[in-house]
Amino acid sequence: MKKIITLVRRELWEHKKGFITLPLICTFILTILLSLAFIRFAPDQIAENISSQSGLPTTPPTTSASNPLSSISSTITSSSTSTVTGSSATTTSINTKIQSTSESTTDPDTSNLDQQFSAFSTLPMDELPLFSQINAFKSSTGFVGLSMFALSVMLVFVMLIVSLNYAHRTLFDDRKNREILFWRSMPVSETQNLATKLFMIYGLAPLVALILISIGALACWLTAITQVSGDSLAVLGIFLQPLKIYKNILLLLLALLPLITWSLLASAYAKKSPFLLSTFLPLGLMFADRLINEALGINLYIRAIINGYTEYLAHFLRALQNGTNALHISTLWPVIVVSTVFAVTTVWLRNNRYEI
Amino acid sequence: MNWVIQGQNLRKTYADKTALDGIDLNLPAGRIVGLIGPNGAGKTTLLKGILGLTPIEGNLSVLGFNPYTQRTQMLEHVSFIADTAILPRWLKVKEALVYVEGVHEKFNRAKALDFLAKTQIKLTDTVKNLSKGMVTQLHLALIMAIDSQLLVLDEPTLGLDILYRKQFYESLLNDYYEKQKTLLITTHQVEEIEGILTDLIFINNGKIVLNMPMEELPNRFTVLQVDLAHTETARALNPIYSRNLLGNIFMLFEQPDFAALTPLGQLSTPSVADIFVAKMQNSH
Repeated sequence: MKKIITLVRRELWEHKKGFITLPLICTFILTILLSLAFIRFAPDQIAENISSQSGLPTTPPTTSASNPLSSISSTITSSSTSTVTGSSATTTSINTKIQSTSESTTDPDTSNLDQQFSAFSTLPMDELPLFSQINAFKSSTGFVGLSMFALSVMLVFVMLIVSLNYAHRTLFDDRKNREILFWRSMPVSETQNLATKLFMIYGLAPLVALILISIGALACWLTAITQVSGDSLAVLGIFLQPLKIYKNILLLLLALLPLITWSLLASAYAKKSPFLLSTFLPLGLMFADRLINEALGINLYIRAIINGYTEYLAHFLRALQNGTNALHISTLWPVIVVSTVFAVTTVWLRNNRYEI
Repeated sequence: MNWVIQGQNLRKTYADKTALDGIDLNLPAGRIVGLIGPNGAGKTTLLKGILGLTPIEGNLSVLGFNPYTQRTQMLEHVSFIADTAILPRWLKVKEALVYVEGVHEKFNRAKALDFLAKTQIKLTDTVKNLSKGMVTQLHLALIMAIDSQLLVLDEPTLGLDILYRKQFYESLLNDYYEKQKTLLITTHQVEEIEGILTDLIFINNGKIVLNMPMEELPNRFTVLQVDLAHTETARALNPIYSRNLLGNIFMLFEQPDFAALTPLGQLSTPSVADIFVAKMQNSH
């Protein structure tokens, strides 16, 4: 166990930037952007903005769900069908329109907010800023949910890039730099070595994503409760969502296992560029398969296998999206078998092919 | 006898070159063996075979393990430096200590720190910021702190200045070497290890051309500084090597007839370098 922990630490020392620093920076930036967007376009802020332009009180009269702000938000949401950019010029234009509309339709002697805000519905909705049209910006719960979704998408994307890059480089770079002479002077088998590298992708990367999604969402929640009043504790239930996201990341990575192990195999085999090898070898084989099929009528089934896998991935993603069970053992066994073949070949190559 | 390495009929061929040509090699425990040969002689291939880094034909056993199929188990008892100054550039010194401590049960951290204390290397240093000599020092400190039964060093002092080279070999004898341990060293700087070797192996063209304990050297080889009047008589006794130096003629004899040689000039024990040059020329 001590050896395995040490091997993982070694990988972390070498790949800290990819697996920790980069996702951390991306999470930080996205959290800041989301928080700023919420602060700018949160219901209270919109009300404040409108009030300052129309001479209304800066604080809405109530904070309950039935307050006028809610109707504005729902009007905005129900009316908007297209997306616009939220440039400052557009915002100024809108504010001017709010003001002019308010002035033209409001009786100066009355302070009926409903009347004030009903003017809003006459505005051209396709010119409103993007964020103000999103339901999520109306409540802390919605905002935290949106933040979690945005962070998840971003982190899954980042982690996939990092993991694929890692899988392509990790068994190539030590040979290229001759560091392998040092690593192989230690009593560590290539099976342990490969298992550690798979752990980095299947254990560490999703765990880092889970932690960062939770931390980012927590920061967004803290931003939200300082901006909008309401039942801030009700939002806490949403913090169970990262576990579901974590499960989906693991399922996605499981579906990608052949791709990851193929990249590791390319990394162990390549003399110059593992990425080119892992990309162009399958493409070349598909091309050759097609040529042979057309010229000689012989089917090598390479195109069929690769197309079948891409269809499987598409099916898998749809199943994840729909929330249906994506993990069918009947469709999973070829993935496991192919991945095992790639992994075993990788270990064999590391043990037998390489000569210092 | 307690054998550390037992190899019979070891062969290794690359595409068009025979690197090892039926070598027999048996090393007992507790010896310091110098494996010496010119470039391309086959010594690195032999070491790679012993360390399980490449498959070689023949019967080879290292501490009872097949080095190729049982490499991981073997490396619990064998440590080596196959090439110095190849530590990962991103690695920090303290991380290197943690790593070796974590994967090798026989690593002694205190000993490694003692070795490092004699250098200018700090624990917070990163390998990429160290000079080549310092990287070698770090590598040696890590490997020498492992309490293994067999230590294999391939050109261990390459790139080091003479001060540290002397310090290293002293340290190797004083701090590392024990009666149960075996050291196998290859180097081109023969003069520097001559004093610490117990056994000498010369290899050339994939064959072992000399394998003998150092204590046999004075009886097996002698150098005759020939009196000019006896040059032809000495040459008739078949020296394996002769050279002229500043008007003097030196002849090296293997299995010498001391009674016949003594009247012909001044006898002395040759250096390992002299024997090496003679043997290499004869084996071509």
